[in-house]
Amino acid sequence: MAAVLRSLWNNRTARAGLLIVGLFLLAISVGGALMPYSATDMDFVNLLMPPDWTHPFGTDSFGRDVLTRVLLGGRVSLAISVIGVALAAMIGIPAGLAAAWYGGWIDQLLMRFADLLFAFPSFVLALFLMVVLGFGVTNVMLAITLVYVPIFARLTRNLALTVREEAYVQAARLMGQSTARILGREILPNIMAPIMVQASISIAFGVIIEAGLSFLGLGVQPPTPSLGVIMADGREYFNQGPWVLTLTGLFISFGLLGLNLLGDGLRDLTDPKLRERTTS
Amino acid sequence: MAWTRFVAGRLLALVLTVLVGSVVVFLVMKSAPGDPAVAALGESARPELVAVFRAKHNLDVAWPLQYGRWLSGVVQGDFGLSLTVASDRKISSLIAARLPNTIFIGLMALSIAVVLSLIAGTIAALRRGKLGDTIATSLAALGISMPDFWLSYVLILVFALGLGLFPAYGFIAPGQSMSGALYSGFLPALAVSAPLAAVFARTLRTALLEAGNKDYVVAARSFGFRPAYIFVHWVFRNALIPYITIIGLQIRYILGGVVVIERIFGVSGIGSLMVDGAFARDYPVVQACAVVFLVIVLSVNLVVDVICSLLDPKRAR
Amino acid sequence: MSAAVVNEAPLLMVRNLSTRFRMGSVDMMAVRGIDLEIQRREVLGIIGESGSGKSVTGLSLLGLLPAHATVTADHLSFAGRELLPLGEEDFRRLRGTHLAMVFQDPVGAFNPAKSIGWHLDRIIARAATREDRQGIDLTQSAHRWLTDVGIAHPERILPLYPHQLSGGMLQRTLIALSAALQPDLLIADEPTTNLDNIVERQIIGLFRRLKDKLGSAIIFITHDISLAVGLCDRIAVMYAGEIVETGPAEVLFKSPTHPYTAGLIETSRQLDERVGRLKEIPGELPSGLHRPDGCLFAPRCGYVTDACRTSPPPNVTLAPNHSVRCIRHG
Repeated sequence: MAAVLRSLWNNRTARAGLLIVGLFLLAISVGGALMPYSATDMDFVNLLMPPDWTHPFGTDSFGRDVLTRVLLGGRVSLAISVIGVALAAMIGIPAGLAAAWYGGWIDQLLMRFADLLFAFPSFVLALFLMVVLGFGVTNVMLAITLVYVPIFARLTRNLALTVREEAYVQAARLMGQSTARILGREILPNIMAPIMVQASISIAFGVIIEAGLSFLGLGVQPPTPSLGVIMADGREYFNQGPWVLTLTGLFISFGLLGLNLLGDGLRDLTDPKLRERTTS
Repeated sequence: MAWTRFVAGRLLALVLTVLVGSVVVFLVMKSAPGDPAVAALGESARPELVAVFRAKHNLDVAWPLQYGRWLSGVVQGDFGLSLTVASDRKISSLIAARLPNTIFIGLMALSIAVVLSLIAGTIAALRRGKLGDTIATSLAALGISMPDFWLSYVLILVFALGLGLFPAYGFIAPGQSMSGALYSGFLPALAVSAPLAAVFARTLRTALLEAGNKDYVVAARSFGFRPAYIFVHWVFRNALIPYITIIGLQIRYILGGVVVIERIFGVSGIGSLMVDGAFARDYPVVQACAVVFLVIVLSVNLVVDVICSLLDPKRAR
Repeated sequence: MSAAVVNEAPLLMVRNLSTRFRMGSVDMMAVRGIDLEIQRREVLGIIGESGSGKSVTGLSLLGLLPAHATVTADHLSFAGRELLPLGEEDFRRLRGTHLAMVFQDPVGAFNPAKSIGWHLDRIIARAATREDRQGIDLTQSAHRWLTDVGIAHPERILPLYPHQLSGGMLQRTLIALSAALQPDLLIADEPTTNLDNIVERQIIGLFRRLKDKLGSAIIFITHDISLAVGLCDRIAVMYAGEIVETGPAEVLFKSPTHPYTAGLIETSRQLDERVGRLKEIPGELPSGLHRPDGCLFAPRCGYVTDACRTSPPPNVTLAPNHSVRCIRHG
């Protein structure tokens, strides 16, 4: 683990990503406590104040400090995305391993189903699920899960297929190890790196899905302050106080930039073809 | 001969996928909690009215029969009647009126993304490791990190409210005025295209660098062809295949982005219809929109596959 | 044959050519201090293990190395013209007209997106830019060359794509296309290494037939000295980026003077006789980064003395055409 972090640190892109993600996590975890305001206290003297030193992101139509709300909302949005993507990985990875290991009709069935989910625009899929299940935090998570299950399943299957015939897997098989042990101990650790890259990128896009759904009013519902909810709120009075929406979005972009850079850096490190090119 | 068989096979697969997809959409929709009749007429509606409503909307029989009727309607271009969004209007006419707008914005966004990414990706690959590459790849990382709906508002703030160059809201249908559609569609299309251009540019850069490292480039140089000629016919020509493949894969994101952006800019399209349907719990409308999106994605993928098979001699024909 | 042309000015003369690659902060010297010359219509073999710098030498002569490589030389003159001071554009004009190359991997040398006929048309167009080719039907001659290399019906393979042909077919095609250019100098970089045994023999036979008809000088790069002996007039043996022995092919093969040359011949003979246990030359090539002070071959040499390890061996001329870099002959 320490070695992985060190090699990440030596990659310029990954280092920038790590720094941004670290700063982002630090901000949403302790930043809220450091702010002198609460996310819900209304201040009717300071309605829709533009950004200044006391309110770096300005105030909203209830006089609430936008930065305080954004830091709290970042926590909510990130948690939704992380849980949604984690669920997707917990379903998609075993499904992909099963498809690769057993092949035959199991593989066909799982992959055709993934193809079907793939054929819907991801946002349409999420929207569709919200209509069926109803709006709210849990269902946004499930929508993110639904979008990413086929992606994890297909990626895992394709990766597992390439290592399935490797000598160490065959050796474990001949030694009579159980299927579960081979999949978990021999195959999974060897394909984990690209899956981690996918996970970091998925978490970034999961935040966008949450924000998009909530922004339309179809996702997280106020008063829960997710980033999408804050932006939807800012949309109501965009002409009078454009900073609420734009600065919240800027905050999201900042976090996503970190996750994307981290993903790029991880990919540089794990793709041998790219590594070869960077040394020459 | 082999080629027509390839296309025919793909078309058949498309039809099958749409059929299976429509069953899944239908069943999931059926499992949604709540009675559509109650949703449309209210809790206190008279039982006779509810019965009439159920008969009109094909809700009074067992679900396999419902699906059969719905499907036979869909095959004839009839998606049934809207429940609440546009009460009792034919969904097919709603879609017919809105689909061109969605396709127009989607195509415009795609064109912008292709132009931007061709420029940025080529510069990044040719100037690899130099300033041009750094600028292009940084812009790409930034582009991927911007939620398109947020970018819409930034564009509105700068180009509509600030500079007054483009309208902030409203879209003129291409059927009414092509120039009006291009003008009013520019900001929405630009917002959708930014993240796409970033993904395309990165793919193109990687593909160009990969093709440029191949032995055939050294071989081409050994024959003394001009560098620009080698770039076009060896490097770019071979990078084109992964580039076009990624466009096919990204069509889902283009359409996903269009859904949100249509609401923001007041474009009357399939995406905004689906969102309206979602708010009003108009199940037949949401169902119809989902199937239409499915057909669009699959058709685009088919076209991309055909283009790739023409570009890549190694693909089955 | 070499005796007949010995008095002419050499087609290609190389003096003290070195090639280094920039790798991060250090330079890796892949080729150092190479001297070569080749007469018109002469066939020169360059022999060495993989990693000995023979391919890099070939690419250096044609200016085909990537940007992070630097080639330096006191002389690199082709037909009386110094190549290194030439701009990239002038150097490019010589390739495909006066200079050509056949590669190790025929599959990788073709543009996978284009048909064989497309390659033929472009290469012909390239060859036609040479002044003394005006008015010659090069397409006709390319078809003749394709027939000559054993492709009975060239028109049948022209619409095909590279992946539809076997490696052997592609290599024949590439040789025919290069031959159709009628270059003054053709460099063949291990043209048979990626092919199976039978095809390898056919290709060598092909080169043997072509060399007189073609009228080009050929540099034939290979790791198999027995392949080179039947084909080449002269042979240069490379070890760790340096030429250790040069001489007429038969002389070198019958009575090698450098222990490394002798080792290569021994290995090759055992391969041919299918001896059960191979006697390889023990040890490994020194890396380009850490070189021994004295003779580069000393760590692997059976005749090594203390003197070998202290200073580099001199280059000794044994006969007008035969020189060796070994202390035992000094």
